[in-house]
Amino acid sequence: MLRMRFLPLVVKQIVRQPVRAGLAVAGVAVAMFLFGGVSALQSSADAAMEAADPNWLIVYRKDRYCPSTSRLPESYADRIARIPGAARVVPVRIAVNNCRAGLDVVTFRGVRERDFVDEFAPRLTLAPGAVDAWRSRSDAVLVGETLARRRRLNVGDRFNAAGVTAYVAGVVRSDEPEHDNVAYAHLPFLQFATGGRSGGYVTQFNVRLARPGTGETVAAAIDAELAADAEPTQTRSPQAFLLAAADDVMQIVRFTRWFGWGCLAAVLGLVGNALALSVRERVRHHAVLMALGYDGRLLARLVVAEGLMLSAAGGLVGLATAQGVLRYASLAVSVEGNSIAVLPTVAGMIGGFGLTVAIGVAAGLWPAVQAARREIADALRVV
Amino acid sequence: MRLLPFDYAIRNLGRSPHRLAATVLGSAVVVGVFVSAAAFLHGMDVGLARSGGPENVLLLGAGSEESIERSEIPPAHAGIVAAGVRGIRRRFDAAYVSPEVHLALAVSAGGAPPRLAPLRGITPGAFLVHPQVRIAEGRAPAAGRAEVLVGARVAARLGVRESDLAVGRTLRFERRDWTIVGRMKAPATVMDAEIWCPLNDLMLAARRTTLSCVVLTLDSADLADVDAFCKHRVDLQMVALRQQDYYDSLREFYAPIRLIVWATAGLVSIAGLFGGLNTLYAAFSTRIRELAALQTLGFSRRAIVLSLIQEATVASIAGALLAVLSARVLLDGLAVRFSMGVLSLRVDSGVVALGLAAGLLLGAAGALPPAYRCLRPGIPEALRAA
Amino acid sequence: MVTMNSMRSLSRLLGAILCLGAGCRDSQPPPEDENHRAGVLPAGLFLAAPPPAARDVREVKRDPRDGDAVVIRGRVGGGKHPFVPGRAVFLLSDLSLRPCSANPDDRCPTPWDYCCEPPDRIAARTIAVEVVDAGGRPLAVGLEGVGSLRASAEVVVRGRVSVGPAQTAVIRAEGIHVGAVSETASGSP
Repeated sequence: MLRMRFLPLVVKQIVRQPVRAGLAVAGVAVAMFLFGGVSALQSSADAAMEAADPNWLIVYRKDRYCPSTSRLPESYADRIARIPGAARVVPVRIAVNNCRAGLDVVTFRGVRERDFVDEFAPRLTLAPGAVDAWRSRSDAVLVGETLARRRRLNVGDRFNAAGVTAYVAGVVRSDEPEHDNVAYAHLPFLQFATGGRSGGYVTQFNVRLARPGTGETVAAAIDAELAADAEPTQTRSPQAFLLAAADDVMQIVRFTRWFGWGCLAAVLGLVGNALALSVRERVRHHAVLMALGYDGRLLARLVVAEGLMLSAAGGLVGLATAQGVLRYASLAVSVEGNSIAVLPTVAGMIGGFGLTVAIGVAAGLWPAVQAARREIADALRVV
Repeated sequence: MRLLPFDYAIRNLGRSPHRLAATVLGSAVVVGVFVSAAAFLHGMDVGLARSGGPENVLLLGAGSEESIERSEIPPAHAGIVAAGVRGIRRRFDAAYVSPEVHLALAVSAGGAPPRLAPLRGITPGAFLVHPQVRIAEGRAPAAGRAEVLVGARVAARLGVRESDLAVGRTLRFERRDWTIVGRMKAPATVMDAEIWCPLNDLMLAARRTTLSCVVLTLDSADLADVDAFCKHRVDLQMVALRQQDYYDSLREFYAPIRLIVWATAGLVSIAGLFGGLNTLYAAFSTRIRELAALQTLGFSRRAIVLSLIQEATVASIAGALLAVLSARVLLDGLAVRFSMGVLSLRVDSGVVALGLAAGLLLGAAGALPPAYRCLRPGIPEALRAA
Repeated sequence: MVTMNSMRSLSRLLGAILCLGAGCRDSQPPPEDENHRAGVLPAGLFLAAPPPAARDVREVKRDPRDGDAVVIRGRVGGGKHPFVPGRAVFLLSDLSLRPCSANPDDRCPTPWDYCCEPPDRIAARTIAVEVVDAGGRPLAVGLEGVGSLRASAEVVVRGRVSVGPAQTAVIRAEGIHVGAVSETASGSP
């Protein structure tokens, strides 16, 4: 460890080479900005998986993923409700402007009024009067915060997507990411707004379990009950459903993990390069310090501290900028009607900062060893 | 202006092999990322640009202009359109009219787990309106026999080997087996990653009662004529748009993704540039006296700057060449599963030129600030520099 | 020597050849007239005063009779793009269809698509209006912006009913007046 009284010396060494230090810090900032983005994507995908409530099941048309291809008769609700273990059945109609993976997908969720009030509203933060405003008009929607920010929607606006023109009655906030990028509409409105030929049909049923841990049994019973029907079903937990439906996006998310490691390698390279150049230029300075009584290990610690400071400064700037940009941009990756809102977390940013600092230390090790090993006389003779 | 000889710049590169290697490698990584991004986006653009026939008009259900998968049209409408629109192309009494169903279903093959794949229900008219499609092996599927025609990129989509989709093998979807009777090629189009089967067979199997769209190829008629027909027949609730306009709107849908990919490539380039600048600052700063000496010999500052730029550019171009060659070998034609289809990365002459230009720019931009800094001091001051 | 019989045979043969030629060109359109090619609107198409005895769109669509003279009133709309670019065709909707902008505080940017109404109801209360040439084909000129004709504009059209397949009616306009018209019903019954 380096004593605090040597820190001003380290700072002076950095400040004496403003261009080199500035470039190293800027490069680290850029690399850590990218890392922050990747890290936010990873944590958002993980959060979407974990937030999936294990006390619910999703009943979908078998072998279908795009919402427009899953058309289950609303009458299935009564049959599903009679299955032992199914406490409540919520029919949901979903309409998306595009089934493909994209960053500007609008997802409408059509639900019955009583289902919204009983099951969804308690998990949302709503402005006073928003639900009443939603109830007062058949074409009213309650829009998730991420979607509202991305499309610049305010209460009273009208917007069109997925062939549906809706009126914004309110903006909802929630700790659960699944609500961020959707617009809650009235079920009958959505059924008829999407062409008028699909009345009486829904996209899925959300089933609340009577007892936790009975998901597999109840799912099997539901699928067995409807297996011989015109529209057979496949019932899964929300997590399993999301994994299957968003497989393509998850592949991309997994790939970006490598990109994140690449960013950290870039930080190592940038800081290591800057320190190596710095140590090479300061050979005679180091020789003088050694002549004044600084031993090799102290010199090494000074170099490592310099690396730590450079990477910490760049990391702080880059990660903070990533936080701000991601929150402003309100990105959400969507596919097949399932959205993952890309939001940075404080824990993620702190973790990223810790990694930067660790890499800064690692980058300084080899230059530090080089600086520590030089003989005074040889160093003073360097031209 | 008397210029410094080119081999002076080359000899200087060899002064520090480690530094040269670092510069070349750094440039290769940065240009590599740039070229990868360009190849990905170019592949996306080409795939969408070539999927639409220039004379084709798409008829969709009203309100579904953004997405064919959402569109619903009663099957009878295809015949009404064929009879009602004058000026559709014909060949030997066969009208260029193709009623189609577009679906994404879970498909399995070769023992692999099922994956989402795009299917298209077609009639023989599809081969008229989509001339980009060529049956490379086997034949078109016949109705009523559970037969399919498979695109060249379907193996990549399903994550199986090409041999698993050979003619005679089977696919499974909608709880039944389908025999592959043909392989088709439609390079650089979305159809290359699709599975085609007879329209009625797909509608029956998927329990679907409506079409997704009707595709027409026009002859003497134009889009306005088809639009007018749709307005005359308000009862049909259809809209007409150019097929290419539909794919252009899809391209717009991917615009945020394109922006993010370019932004990422740009940021990586900037990070690389900063690293390179640092290296060049260090490299040039040790030569301040040498550069001052050159000035005393009569070479102008401009000539010296040009020589320094040559030096940096040669190194960065070397890295760019390495990156571009590697990309051409490793990435060109690489199939990437993306959003219900398959994207083929394209490293063509345009992308190669872009990569080399990026290398050139990196070298020039990387050399200028350090060169300016080293040449800023006056000659006496520079000659006294340590 | 040329006889009458041989002349008749020759003319029959020529006629047959001409018929075959016409049959082979079944994909080609009938000859255009000058107005269609040039896209020239007939003089006096736009009327200063509304013709009297105007009927609602839904009334005309209820029992269309081919060739009947009719005066019809409505609002330009019934879809997101009620005009056909490059053709003298537009959609006219019944005044009973309620535009979303009629709702208080509703900032609907395209009220003429009547998206607050069910699609089947819109289709039942909307009719196409066209200006045709001598051959019965719409003129090759767009009508949007011509003579103050815009989406949501209230118009009265004098023309003739043309009934096509599946009893679908189209109005062939001879005169168009653009301006506020009195409504028989302002809401949806």
